[in-house]
Amino acid sequence: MELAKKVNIAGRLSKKKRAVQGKNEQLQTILIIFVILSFMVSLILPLSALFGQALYDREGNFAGLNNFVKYFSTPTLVTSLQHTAYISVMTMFISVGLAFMYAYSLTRTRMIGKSIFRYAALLPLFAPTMMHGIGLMYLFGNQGLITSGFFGFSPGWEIKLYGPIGIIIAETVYTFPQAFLIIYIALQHTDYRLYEAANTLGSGRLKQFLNITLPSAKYGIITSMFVVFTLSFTDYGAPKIVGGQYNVLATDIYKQVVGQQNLSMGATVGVLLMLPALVAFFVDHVSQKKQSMYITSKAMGYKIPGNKGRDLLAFLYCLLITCFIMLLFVAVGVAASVKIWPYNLGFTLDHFKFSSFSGDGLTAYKNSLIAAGITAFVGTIFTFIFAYSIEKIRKKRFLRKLGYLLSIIPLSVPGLVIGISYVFFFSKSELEILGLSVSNPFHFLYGTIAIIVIANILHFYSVAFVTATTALRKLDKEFELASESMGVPFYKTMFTVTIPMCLPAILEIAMFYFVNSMVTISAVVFLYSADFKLAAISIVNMDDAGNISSAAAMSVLIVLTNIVVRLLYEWAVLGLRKRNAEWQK
Amino acid sequence: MKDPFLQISNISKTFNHFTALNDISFDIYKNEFVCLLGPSGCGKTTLLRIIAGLEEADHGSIKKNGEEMLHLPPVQREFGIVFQSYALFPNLTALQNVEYGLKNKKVSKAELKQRAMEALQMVDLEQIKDKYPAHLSGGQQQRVALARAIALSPKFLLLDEPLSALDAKVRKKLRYEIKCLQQKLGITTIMVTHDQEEALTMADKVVVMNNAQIMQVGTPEEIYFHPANPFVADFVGSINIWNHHVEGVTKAIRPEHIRLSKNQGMKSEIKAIEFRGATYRIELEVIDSASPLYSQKIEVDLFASSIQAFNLKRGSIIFVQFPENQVLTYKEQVVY
Ligand SMILES: Nc1ncnc2c1ncn2[C@@H]1O[C@H](COP(=O)(O)OP(=O)(O)O)[C@@H](O)[C@H]1O
Ligand SMILES: [Mg+2]
Repeated sequence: MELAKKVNIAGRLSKKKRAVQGKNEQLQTILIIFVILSFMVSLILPLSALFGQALYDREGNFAGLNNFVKYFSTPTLVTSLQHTAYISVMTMFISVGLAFMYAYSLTRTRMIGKSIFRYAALLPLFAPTMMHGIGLMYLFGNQGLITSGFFGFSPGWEIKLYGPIGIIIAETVYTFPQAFLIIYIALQHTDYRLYEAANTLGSGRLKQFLNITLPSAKYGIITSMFVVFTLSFTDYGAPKIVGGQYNVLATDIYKQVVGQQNLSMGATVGVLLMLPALVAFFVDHVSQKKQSMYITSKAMGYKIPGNKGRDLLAFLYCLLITCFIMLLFVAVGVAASVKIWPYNLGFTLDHFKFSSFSGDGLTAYKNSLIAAGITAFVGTIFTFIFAYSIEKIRKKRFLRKLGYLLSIIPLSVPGLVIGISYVFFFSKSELEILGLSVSNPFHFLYGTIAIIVIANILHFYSVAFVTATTALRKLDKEFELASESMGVPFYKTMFTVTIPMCLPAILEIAMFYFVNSMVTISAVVFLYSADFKLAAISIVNMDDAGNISSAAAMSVLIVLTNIVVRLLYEWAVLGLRKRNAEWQK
Repeated sequence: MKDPFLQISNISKTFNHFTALNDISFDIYKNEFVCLLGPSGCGKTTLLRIIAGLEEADHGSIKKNGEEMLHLPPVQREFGIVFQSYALFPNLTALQNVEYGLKNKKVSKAELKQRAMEALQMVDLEQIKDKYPAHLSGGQQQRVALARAIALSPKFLLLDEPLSALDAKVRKKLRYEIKCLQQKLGITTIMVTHDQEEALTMADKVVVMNNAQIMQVGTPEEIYFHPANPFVADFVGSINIWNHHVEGVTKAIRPEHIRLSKNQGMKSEIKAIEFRGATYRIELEVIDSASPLYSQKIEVDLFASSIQAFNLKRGSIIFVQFPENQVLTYKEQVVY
């Protein structure tokens, strides 16, 4: 009797479990297919549209590589390419050189003020690139602080700001934090045991620098060079503000597409814009594999020997860089809050009302907050779920590998290319597939906030994805197996265990999406609609209209917003850490 | 004999051309404690995961009570599992960890708590129920994982190297506790280990594996006293193995089965004496040039009393005898 009852219960249980399991696996399959389909719509199809467009002429006839031939036989366009290459190479050497010395000072000396210097180096990340240009205008422009020798107090110093010099300085400021971060991490992770071995062998400081420091940071340096090159190759904001008559690819593509409606040539330039990033993608892949040789789990942190002279030198250097960055930000801040630069330096908040600029300045700011907020919220959810599906689902190995590859590719698609390829794909109400014309089911997104949000998410997705994946990999991979064996559906474990454990990374991703969505212009410059302007775009428009103090004010608003969001993030992480202290070691 | 509870037949598994399991077959009876024993990388974990349904086999079948189980998802196989890493959820307390699987069973809150507490009591841990895994010792974490596995009243238990992350003292204690628990619950258990001592002390049946294949299935005594091949002989316990060139076979004898004599047997010289606590391990070199073992090294285990009786020192000359019924003979030629 007792036994019969038991058997009965077991039978009932297993029937119910069968249902759960079936749903479980179906859901996982749906998830992973959803991941792939999302990339189809947001990445593959738009890029195909771009590449396709580059193969057709303005009238829609197949042109093969004729567009490229035409490009290279049009002197003005070729000049732009040369300009862009020149700017990028110069920025690459200057920015990486400065960043290396800065990172070296922070990791290999005992100077004071390290944490302040570290934050200062990251400050440019909170501002749109246009702001670096605006700051330079107020320092080195015709009526700039330094050009006029502090309004005549000292001899003036004039550099020819508008043109390559201005662009290079602005791009250097823009790319400095990124280069710094990459090299900083590489230097931090060098195994001190290598130096100990060198010391016991009696090799000198210079030799150690050349034989250990440089090789171990080599891949960090190479990666950062490619990153900097790509960023300045494709940046739109800085050349727009301080480029003057100096044409570069990024401004060209905008003129071709928006100005002349020459989509074919726009697409051609778009393809060219992608080239350095594609090279960088493969180099990065190789260097990441090799870098791991220098970083083992047993690696010891670097112990810094004392050296007063070196510390002083490093301190002065970092102080110089920090002061320059600060000066740039302060200049913009001052410009935004004085009556008429440089004639009436009385304090005013009038520029923040944006009254002189057709009234939509504040609306644009509000729109940016909305777009960045939605991007952060939706982007974080999608990124985490995608990373989870790719990392933690046990089956569908091929699809997961494909998903991983698709998740890394956006890293090498510049914002401008995302923007323009979205124009090509989403603007069309009819799609041509193998000569057949079908209506485009995604056309309705065109001209809405949704397309801005999607573009932003894709634009910043890869970095966020890597952050999420890293956090997920830190968790025992047997959590999922354990719950599977207990018949607990995977999403329950995701909610009760995985997400709480990854919360710091999730917050970081949200913050990252928000800050970047606030400052970016490249992707959205093609996608915003007249009734949904964004703050970053209004900076460019105000600058175009000669209303530079309003542009400065808008930049200040963006930076302040981002700093507030960053502080909120730090505060939340601190709170989390306190709350989770009880289950952490 | 009664029907087997689990019938594992012809299981094979390859990972990209690498054979992880090659035609594995053996039976497991109700209430049996089975150890999968073998060197690292021989496929034990893979086999356990196939039994669990966490990995798919390429060929073969696994029947539970005569019914094919391979197509069933893990839950329906009704097992509890303890992973090598324990896989305790760090943000849940010990009790919450144990309740975790029960929560999904739609039992009442009171019953849920009661069953979880019972499981914790089984492993003697009700006093730490509100602690988080990070604040438990390795042995305690291990027992929480065990409680979590048995809380669902599974039909059988799978343990993957449950003791390997613990230090020697705790390991011995837990060895005993797991065995007691298994007997108290009468639950069929499959445990993976690379530690032959663990397998011999805990198992009712040992499945010795090497290179993706089964080498021998038997009770600990069978495995120890009648190893089916030189691999098992060598892997389980200590043994002296040599090729007998005249007969063309391999012979083996365990160190504790060798007898010493003052004047009869193979003349040998003592090369080393190693103190091992209750016993001594003696290393001899055969110096009898007529012996097939001439110039070979032999290990012998002796009690302290024998050492004294023979007054053994390094360099002493002594005679060794291999009792006929203790010498193992194999057709396989092994190169040592
Ligand atoms: N998912 C996998 N992919 C490729 N090879 C694997 C995988 N899992 C295990 N192996 C290989 O199969 C062999 C057996 O592994 P495993 O069953 O874990 O061995 P054991 O538990 O006996 O140490 C090992 O050589 C291992 O490298
Ligand atoms: Mg194993």
